Amino acid sequence: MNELKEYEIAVRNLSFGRTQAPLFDDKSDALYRRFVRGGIRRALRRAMPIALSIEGDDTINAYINDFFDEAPPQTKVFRNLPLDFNAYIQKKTDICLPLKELIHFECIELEVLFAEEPDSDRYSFVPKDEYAIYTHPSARLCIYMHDIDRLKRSSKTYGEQRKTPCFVVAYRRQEGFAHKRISQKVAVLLSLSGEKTVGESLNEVTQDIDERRFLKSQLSSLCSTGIIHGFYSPNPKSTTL
Amino acid sequence: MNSKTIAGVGLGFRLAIAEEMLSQSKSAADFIEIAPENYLNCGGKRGRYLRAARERWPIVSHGLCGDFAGSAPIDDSLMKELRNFLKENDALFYTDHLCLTHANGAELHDLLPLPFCDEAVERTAKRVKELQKRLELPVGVENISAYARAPGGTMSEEEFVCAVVEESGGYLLLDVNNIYVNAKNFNFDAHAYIDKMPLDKVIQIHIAGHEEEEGLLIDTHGSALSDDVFELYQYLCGVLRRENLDPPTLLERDNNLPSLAVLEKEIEKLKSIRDASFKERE
Repeated sequence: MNELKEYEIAVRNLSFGRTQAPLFDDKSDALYRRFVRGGIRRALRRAMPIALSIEGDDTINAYINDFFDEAPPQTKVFRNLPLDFNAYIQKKTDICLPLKELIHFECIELEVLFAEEPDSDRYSFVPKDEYAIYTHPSARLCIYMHDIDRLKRSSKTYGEQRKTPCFVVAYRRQEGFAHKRISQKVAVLLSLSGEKTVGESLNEVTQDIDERRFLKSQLSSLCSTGIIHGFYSPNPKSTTL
Repeated sequence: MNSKTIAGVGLGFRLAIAEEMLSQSKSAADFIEIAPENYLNCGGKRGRYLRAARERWPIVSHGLCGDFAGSAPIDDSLMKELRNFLKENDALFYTDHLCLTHANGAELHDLLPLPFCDEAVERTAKRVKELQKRLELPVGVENISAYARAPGGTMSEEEFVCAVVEESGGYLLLDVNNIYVNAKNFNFDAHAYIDKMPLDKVIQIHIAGHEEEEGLLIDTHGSALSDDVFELYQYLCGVLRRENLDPPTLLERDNNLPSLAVLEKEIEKLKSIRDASFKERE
């Protein structure tokens, strides 16, 4: 008999089970259950202040309890707990779309704030056709059917569903969380940044010369905000520009 | 900063006091300690703080998710990142808690007690050996505070700690406050506990504050050091000096953080206790 394995199962049941399963004694069981759940719950609640404000304590706590019971944390890294929770929420079928979108948006904030710095190579700020785009490592492209990025803690509702999706880039600016709306075509260019050159990416969205010029100016603009860190020659990756 | 000396008394590096610590012209802390998981692949403000801190102090890494006795396999990717991080930060050793942090497929993000049994000794010793090999560093286990004894134990806490250190060939991070807390919660003699520890294996000392709740002492890292804990630290320093040992001490404070000046007073008091124990030996 593997006693440690049995103990682990009992610890998991005590910590994450829907109800408190006995393990030590009543007082210690309650204490450890509170420690484990309380620490994680605080981290999750801190990560989604707007969702908490709109949905209220009871609803969010109920979802966190479901998370504990059905898909408890897998990450060993404390700051990534909201990402685990977000992954769980996105799979749930009984949660409305705007709340899913809001939790996604709020939970990626920590990921953005802690993302790695860009590498120290030199990059061009000019989006030539033969160059590739190097997006800032903190940048995350999000697609929503609600104006999630415009909600505030004072918001009471999510607003109407949009007819077409909006494209939002979440990124880090001056060590803070920032976000910017972009067009669908610019979103396509960004999504292809790891695979194709600027010219090849533009071919995917338009052949119109004026529009290509306009989209390039949009890329330059994203460069000045910091969403795009720069442009480089990819064959081979060269820092001599 | 070349960290080839980790000595004296250090302070846990926390974001809430990072800016203040970094802006000081002179620091009472001889080194700092961080939880590496919080800094792995980390940019932004936290990354900047770490880079700046590295220029000022030697850094000790104290893990949170080593899961020494857990059944889950070692996370290869996390271990590789950890090894690189420790190298980048000139780590001389690595420590984590002697407890359960993973339970049957779930991460607890808290420190649960282990049963003091042969199986836990064997599993922990195996894991420590593996970590020492993978990290290419000495690895130490920390005695934890507890509020219940896990079922299935066949030995005392001190026997368990000693067995793990001996079987693993690893080291011991001796937490004075945890000894005190457990001595009160489980009614044993804290001084006798220290006397039984393999002092030549003590790689670092931790000290922190605790609070009382419903008749139990809780290791909160959220209050000032108590006189009793200072006294126990003084006793430990005396015992170590008799063996001509001088491991570094780390003041932990994670919650209810006071001003840095208050923490530095505690550091100075710890230093004076250490120094006095040297003089007594002479």
